[in-house]
Amino acid sequence: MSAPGPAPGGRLRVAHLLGVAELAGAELVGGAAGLDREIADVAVVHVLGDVETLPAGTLAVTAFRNPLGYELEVVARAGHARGLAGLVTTGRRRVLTSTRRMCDRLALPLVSVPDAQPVGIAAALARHVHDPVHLATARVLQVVRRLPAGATTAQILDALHGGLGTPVALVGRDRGVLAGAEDLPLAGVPLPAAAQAGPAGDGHLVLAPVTVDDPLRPDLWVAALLPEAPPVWVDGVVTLLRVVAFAVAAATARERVAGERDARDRSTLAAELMDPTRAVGRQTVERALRVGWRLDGWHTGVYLRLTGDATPTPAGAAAVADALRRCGLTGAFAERADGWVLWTTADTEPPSESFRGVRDAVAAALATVGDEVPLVAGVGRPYEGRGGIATTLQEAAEASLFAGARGPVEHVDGLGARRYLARWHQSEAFTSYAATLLAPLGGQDVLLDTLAVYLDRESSATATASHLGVHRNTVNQRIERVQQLLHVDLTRADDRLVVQLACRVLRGGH
Amino acid sequence: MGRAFPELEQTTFFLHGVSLTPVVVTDEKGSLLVVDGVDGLTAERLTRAAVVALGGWGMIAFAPQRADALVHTAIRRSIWRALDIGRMLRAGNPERMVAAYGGRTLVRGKVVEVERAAGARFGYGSAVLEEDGAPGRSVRLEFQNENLLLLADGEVRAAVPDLICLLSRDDGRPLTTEEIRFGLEVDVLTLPGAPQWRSRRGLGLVGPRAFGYDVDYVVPGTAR
Repeated sequence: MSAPGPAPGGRLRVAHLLGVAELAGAELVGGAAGLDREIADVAVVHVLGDVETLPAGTLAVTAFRNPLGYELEVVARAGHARGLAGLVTTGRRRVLTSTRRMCDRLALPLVSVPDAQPVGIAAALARHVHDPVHLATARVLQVVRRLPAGATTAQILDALHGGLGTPVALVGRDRGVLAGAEDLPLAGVPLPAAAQAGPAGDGHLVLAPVTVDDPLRPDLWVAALLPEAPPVWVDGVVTLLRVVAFAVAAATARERVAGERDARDRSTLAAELMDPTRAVGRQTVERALRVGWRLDGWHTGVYLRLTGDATPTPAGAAAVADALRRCGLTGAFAERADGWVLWTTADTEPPSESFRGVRDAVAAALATVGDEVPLVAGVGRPYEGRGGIATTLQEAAEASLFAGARGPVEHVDGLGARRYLARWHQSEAFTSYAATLLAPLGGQDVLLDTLAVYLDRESSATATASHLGVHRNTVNQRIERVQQLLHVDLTRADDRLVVQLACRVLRGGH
Repeated sequence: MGRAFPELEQTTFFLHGVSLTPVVVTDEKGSLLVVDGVDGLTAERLTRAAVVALGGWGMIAFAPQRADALVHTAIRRSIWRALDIGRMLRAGNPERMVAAYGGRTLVRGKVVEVERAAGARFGYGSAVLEEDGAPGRSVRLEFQNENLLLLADGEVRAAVPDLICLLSRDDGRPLTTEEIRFGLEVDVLTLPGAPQWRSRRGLGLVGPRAFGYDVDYVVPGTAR
């Protein structure tokens, strides 16, 4: 009789057959009520008499010469009497109603595999029954071998899908599908920190985290949806997905490196386009085309400047680009030393009132990334042509210097007379002069802050004190000390103007 | 034969070792062929080819026999019996006929599925009949030129050389296998084949396996 099997429920059941790769295209013709029958062995039935010798629990694969169809009914009758697990039939011959009904009545599953060789099928199924661990291992190796060196995420998923024959996908933290099958039942499924399988309908959903940065907080998961399958095979797939997750992590890291290189290329290109002293050469035009930037048309520049000590990071760039895109701002995007630039391009000159729309969109984008990436922004006027890119970004950069005081986004039109100060800020000569002038303060921020506020408050010690929250005498003492250190007299208009401009330049316009 | 069979050697003459040849084939236009000098199987093939060449229709005569030999080699009164059965059916009395000839009514039902396919020599097919008053209960009829096997739940309920007859419920007329189609309401009867056919040698010649059905000839209720 049947050989002692592994743990209860561990053995292959007829239901599992429908998900086995060797039985691709198999159809359950009848006997669904018997799908839970366990398979102890697999045998080929060449003539009807063979059935009489089969032990209970055997799965019979029929291989009659010139079958006429009636044989299945005779086999089903004898097989039921002997306690067979089920029947598998091959060939394109239609199974008649009487056979179907009979199998239903006997709860004897009948699986039809139209395009298959019975002996080959029986051999493959026998491995599933007798050597499932080895089979699962072989399958894992098979998929691993299919992974080409330096595979992309898409190639990895293709190999996995090819090996498993079931839907697979790459899933993000928000359960959004980044690649692969879109229709996995992910809603409400916990995303595990270690590879594991969970129930999904009659089958299993296997998820394996992809660790790129933080092993405790993965951002990606490889997911596979399996039909009903024996535990050994589910375990095998869990292992397989763990291996595949490593490959995905490698691919992600590789893509990230390439992305950073790409970002560097873009910033060089943007710098060239923004340099008003350079004519835009053919090479630059070609590179711009390659990265998909439009040089013709009307450009509106946006300069996004990081506040505080923040420096641009790839993650920040992605978040900002995404936020801008969500707010309807799409165009060329490049990294700068102190933030990012973006310009949008239109075929015709945008109407003069459009700047408000751009300003609001940028403000909305900044608000969404506010916590992660502290930014202010400036917006330039629309200008036409290649040279227009430099002009509008120049204006945007100037406007960004003043952003922050009245709101996070400044449009160059809103600056008024302050614009002319921006020219000072940008002048290298004055910047170095300002640094020299204020150097004696030796980085004493308290003094520099007090000085800047004092000058911005029309040299009023009272107003400065209330703004800084210190005593008026303290302000006076500090200003006295500053005058000593800098060898200036702030009561003189010329000294005052120069020192105030120097403060502005060093403090970034705030 | 005592019933219809598709091949010439499926006769009791052949069963008893009487040579079929010379076989004479003729048609209504006066063609005449004599097949001789070959064994029974070859004679059957040649004769069949000749009939096809003549237009699919012909008459044949087997080799002459002595009348006293027929006592052993023939199924006696078979022609008279055919006429008698025909008369009873025409009189609308199939039950009397079944009783008179030791037959049984197997199924009353409706044809719900028919499948036909071309075979190497003869076409073959299967029909599923649903029993009256038992929806979901079905029997399966296997036929070639004649009805050869009736299965219920995978069990043989009737098999060649016994006769399996389909009588149309409409007019009581016997139906040939070509007439079987979806929706027909029929009574399925079986009549015993001639005792000579039920012998071991007889079954070898005209039993289910001779027609490609890998089942034993059994009559339900009797020992194998």
